[in-house]
Amino acid sequence: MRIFDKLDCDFTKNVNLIFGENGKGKTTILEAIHMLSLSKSFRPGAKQNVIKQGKNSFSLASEITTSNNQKTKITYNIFKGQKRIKINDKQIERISDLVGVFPVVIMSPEDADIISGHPQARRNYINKLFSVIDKNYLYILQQYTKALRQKRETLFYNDEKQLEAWNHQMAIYGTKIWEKRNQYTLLLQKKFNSVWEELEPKTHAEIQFISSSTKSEEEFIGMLKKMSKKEKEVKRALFGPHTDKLKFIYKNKSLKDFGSHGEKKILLSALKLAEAKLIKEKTTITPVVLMDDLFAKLDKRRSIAILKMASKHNQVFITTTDSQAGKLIASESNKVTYFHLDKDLRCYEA
Amino acid sequence: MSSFPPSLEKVIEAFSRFPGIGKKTAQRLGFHVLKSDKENAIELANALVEVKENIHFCEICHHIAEVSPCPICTDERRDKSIICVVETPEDIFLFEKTGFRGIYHVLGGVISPLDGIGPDDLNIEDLLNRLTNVNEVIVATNANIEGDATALYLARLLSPMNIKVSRLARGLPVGGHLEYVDDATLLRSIDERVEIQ
Repeated sequence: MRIFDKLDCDFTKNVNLIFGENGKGKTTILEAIHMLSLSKSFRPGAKQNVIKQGKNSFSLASEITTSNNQKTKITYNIFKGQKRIKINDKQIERISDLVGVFPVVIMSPEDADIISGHPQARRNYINKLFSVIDKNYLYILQQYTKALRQKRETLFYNDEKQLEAWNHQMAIYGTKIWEKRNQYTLLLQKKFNSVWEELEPKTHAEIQFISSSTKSEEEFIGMLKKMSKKEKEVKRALFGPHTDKLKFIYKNKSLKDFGSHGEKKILLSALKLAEAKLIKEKTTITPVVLMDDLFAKLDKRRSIAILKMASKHNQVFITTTDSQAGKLIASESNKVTYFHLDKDLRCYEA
Repeated sequence: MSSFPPSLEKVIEAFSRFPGIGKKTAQRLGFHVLKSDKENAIELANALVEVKENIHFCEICHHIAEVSPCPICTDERRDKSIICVVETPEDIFLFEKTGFRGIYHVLGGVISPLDGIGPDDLNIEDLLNRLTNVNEVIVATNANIEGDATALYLARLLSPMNIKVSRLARGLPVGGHLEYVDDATLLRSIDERVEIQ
């Protein structure tokens, strides 16, 4: 995988600190754990980039003890573009069979998009999270998205009856998405507020969910009828869950527009800790928290506070290039294993 | 790598155009034809030509048959007041096994603008032209978004004609164990649950 030919590691302690210089494969270890959880990498770029250059396959094998004390073996294999995932030696048929078995929460520099990116990035974030905590969510979302795409295409023809047919499909699945989104965003907000209260009691922050959600299919269809003229004019679908917005407020201002890098990272970290709590509540399994480059952009006091909070309940993996910060963490607790990735790409406990 | 003799290559190339047949399977089939008796090959070739020459689409229901109108459309014992609308001729053979005694209409697909298929590309016009003396239209399109949308489209289209339009029920497979039912189907069967009388 990526730069590694082969790597064996045991992560038995609660806090696993992975130290190494740039390009030694720290993030790749987190990536491997993430792939065992969600079948996908969290890093951008083409899927095949995960495979070491010049090779056509890679595999991951793991034995995981989840918080409910169950031992689960998950293996992941790509050979010539074919993905095979086995849980306890049994091959799964759908990716959704994997999701939720071994949940993880990832904090990585790539998350910056959740705050600074387009509204779609924030919708993608909650869609991914809600798919983990609710197996039906992804299915409903896929159906809705299909209907939405068909409708968008239909807007280019003058076919009232066909438009009505697609609107109806959007209403069926859109209403269901909203029902779930309303429920889960409320839970996420609650978890976030309690994390924030503990982490930064002196400042105010909140997550706002802005949505024109309707309670019933009839109401949804009624709204679409009202929008119909405008939609045909601009040839865009203007109403539905795909227009929902998530907004982060920090010190009464929009974090996206006014926040510094550090402030954004604090809020993102709190969001991820809230995510971990939500996953724990809905799946009853405590997720593993992956913190890629924890100390970047954050002061040490905050980094440690976040780490302490995460490691109270969850197994945590941290990567850092900062050996000082690493030692600081190691001195804080005896439940820390300190891994070192050296220039020969070996991983050993230091 | 030396290539196959041109006439063998031609056969392999023809086989590989079949759905679900890859290059390797096509090669195996090609060599199988080579090894088998000449009579078998001639039989296969003739059967292929015959099926293309003899099978036509029924002018009424668009089902496949050797005569048009098809035997189902001309069968006097069938109930002509109930039409089952299906996506493809293959679907009719499935319904025939159930002992359904109404008649059929083949749409030739479903509405899917993303694939460039609109209502005008389906046999909807012909369906509308044969609805005199029809009491019920059962829409038996597939249980996916496009199938559902097509069903709704037909229902709206037929609503001024005072004809009952129904849709196949979705839910648990008969004799199936709950444990083996996928989430989407289970969700659907909760949505479309039926009150016990």
